[in-house]
Amino acid sequence: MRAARERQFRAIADEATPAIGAYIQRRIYPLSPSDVDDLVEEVLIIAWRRLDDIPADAVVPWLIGVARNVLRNAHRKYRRGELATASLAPAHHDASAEERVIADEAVRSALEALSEDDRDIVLMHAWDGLSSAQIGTILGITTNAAAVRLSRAQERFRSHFSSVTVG
Amino acid sequence: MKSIDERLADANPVSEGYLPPAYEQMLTRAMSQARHRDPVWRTFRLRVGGSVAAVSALTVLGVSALNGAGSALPVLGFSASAATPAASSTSAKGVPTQGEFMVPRQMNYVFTGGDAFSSDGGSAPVYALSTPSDVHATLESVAATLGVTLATTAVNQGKGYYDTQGDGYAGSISSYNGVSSWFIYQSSGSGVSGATGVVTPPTVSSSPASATGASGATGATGATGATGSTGALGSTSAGSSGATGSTGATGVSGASGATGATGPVPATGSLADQALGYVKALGDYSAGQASESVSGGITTITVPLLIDGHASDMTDSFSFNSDGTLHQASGDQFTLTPVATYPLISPADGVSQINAQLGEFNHFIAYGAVATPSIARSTVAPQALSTVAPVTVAMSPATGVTGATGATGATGATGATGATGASGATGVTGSTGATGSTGATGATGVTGVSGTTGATTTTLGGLHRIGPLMYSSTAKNASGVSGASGATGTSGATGPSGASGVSGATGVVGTTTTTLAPETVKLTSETMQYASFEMKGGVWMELPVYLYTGTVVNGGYQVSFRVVPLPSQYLDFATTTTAIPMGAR
Repeated sequence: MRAARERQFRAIADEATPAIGAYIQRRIYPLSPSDVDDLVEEVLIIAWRRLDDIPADAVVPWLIGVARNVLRNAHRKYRRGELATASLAPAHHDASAEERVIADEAVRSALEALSEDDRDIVLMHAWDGLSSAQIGTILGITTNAAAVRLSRAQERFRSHFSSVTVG
Repeated sequence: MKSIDERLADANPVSEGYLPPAYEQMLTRAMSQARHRDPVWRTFRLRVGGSVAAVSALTVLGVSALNGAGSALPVLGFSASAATPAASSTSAKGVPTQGEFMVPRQMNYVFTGGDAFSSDGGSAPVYALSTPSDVHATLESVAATLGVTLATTAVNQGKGYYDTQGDGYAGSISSYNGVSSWFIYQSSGSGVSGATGVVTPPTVSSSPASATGASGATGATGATGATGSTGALGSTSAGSSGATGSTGATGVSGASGATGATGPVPATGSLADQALGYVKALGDYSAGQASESVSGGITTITVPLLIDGHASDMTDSFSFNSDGTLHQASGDQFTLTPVATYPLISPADGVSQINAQLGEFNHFIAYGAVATPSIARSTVAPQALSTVAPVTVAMSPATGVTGATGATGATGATGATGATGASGATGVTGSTGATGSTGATGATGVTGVSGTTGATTTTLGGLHRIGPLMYSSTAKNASGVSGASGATGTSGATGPSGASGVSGATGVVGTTTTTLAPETVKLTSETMQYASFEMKGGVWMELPVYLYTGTVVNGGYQVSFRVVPLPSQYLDFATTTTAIPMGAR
């Protein structure tokens, strides 16, 4: 019984871990790059504990959804720590991970102008290569709703991009 | 020119999948995790709640008995391997492994300033953390307290986890590490429809209101304008000098950078009162000084949660839109159950513990030049000086000295002389008998066994004293030189082969010693706080900690250390081989 569970877990982990790792790496700031492995492991632990809940036809998006929550918690913990030791820490601002890693100023500015939700959905598609159906799984909405949200977010991104590059 | 989509794709900082180098170990550790803990925890609570006298018989879940010790206080057993990021940076046995050791190599610090701290320890209660069993109901209750209705377009749920999605307000909650962490946010989409009206929370004043908050970050400086072009040179015909071209126009100055977001300041307004009211309504938690920050039109009020009047590792946070509606909120739901009140070592003695256990800490909090944020999640756990054992950690840089050359193998024994030829027949003197055939060549001596390569270990000695630490690197079983081949047996008359040569002896283990100069850390402040720790059996507890801050004298950067100030007889680290990991929250 346990052996079967372990085989199932390994198969799921082998399929999803590279995508989870990359997803977290892209958004790790302001945490340290050395935190990436810890967060990946946290996702894997949750995957093991909730093995029966993982939909067989949506392993990767389901676990990216977990990674999204884990990362959000980690960022929140980090900000708590910063607040708790504000007198020690150098001044910082709330730049997003995307702001820190993108060299293309126009792209960065256009992303910054988006809401967090819009930015999230645009980058899940552009960087993580997720389809509307997969994004729908992550956000817990239908494929159609995800497609509409993605389309609108992309429109807003293009609009901001145009204003940045023209202006 | 690249399209916008291509440029967005090019901006992807990680273009390929990432598989952690310790992937296999991760899988092993994940599969070693227990899947359900609540039933055991419920048993524990019943036992504690049912009989205080029975505590002397408790051996479950982090609390073991002090049999015959004349004290009713339970011993707190720390978890062997907590499911925390800090714990996951250790090997399966909990020992730091090469390549994962996060501290600077130069970890020979001497801590001073302890004499300025109080020598009175006092006492403090220890609390067990418990979390609501029904996370769905808890999230709905939190939402109702905040005056919002959660969308139910889609719901994901599992044991200890609940997540709802949809337009309006969405949220999630998960139980781990002894608390239920919740997050409610205004989701994007076609209009917000979830609000059910403002809930008037109890009025709570924030205090003190007069402290000055940090200034917001200065906006970035505008780009410098382009330099004007240089004027054209004059003509040089007919030998006369050409007229100098006119100087180009000065470039236009860049626009000023945008003003930075406002940094956190003490929160005093109506939103702060609202946030403090939420905290009280959510669980009648004790709130510290709320802080406020504004970014992008969103005002965020962060409320630290106090335990027994001291700062803790938990906060609630509430963000409001410019019209006062809730933008998002997050926090922790938990219940504190007093375990016992323990005597504490004094803050001055705590500094001694840091010095005594220098070899045991594997992380420290540092901002600036040395450490990374991930390092800020560990602590030094106290033990009595007399019980501190030297800690052996695997470190990579010291190379063992090559073992001495093995002794040369003994020369093979000379072959026996061949038998004398038979005498000739009597009478006519016969011809001399033929010389016997040459004896066979002696067997070659066996090659000496090579010594195994010495494993390098670095031992941190001197844990009981303040001063230079000796790194004694011992290379065990260094490679011995191969034994020399046995000498070929001398030829002789036919006879037995020569004996094989003796194998060479294994080389001697080499030794090297390195001394590191100590860095002085001047500790300047100490405050008591509460922090969560995972105990045996998966129970989480809030323990008092001393937070020391100071400066590395020669480095100029600030550091902070935490000590669990309970006397060592109440702490059980028997199964904990690393520094105690801090709570994962």
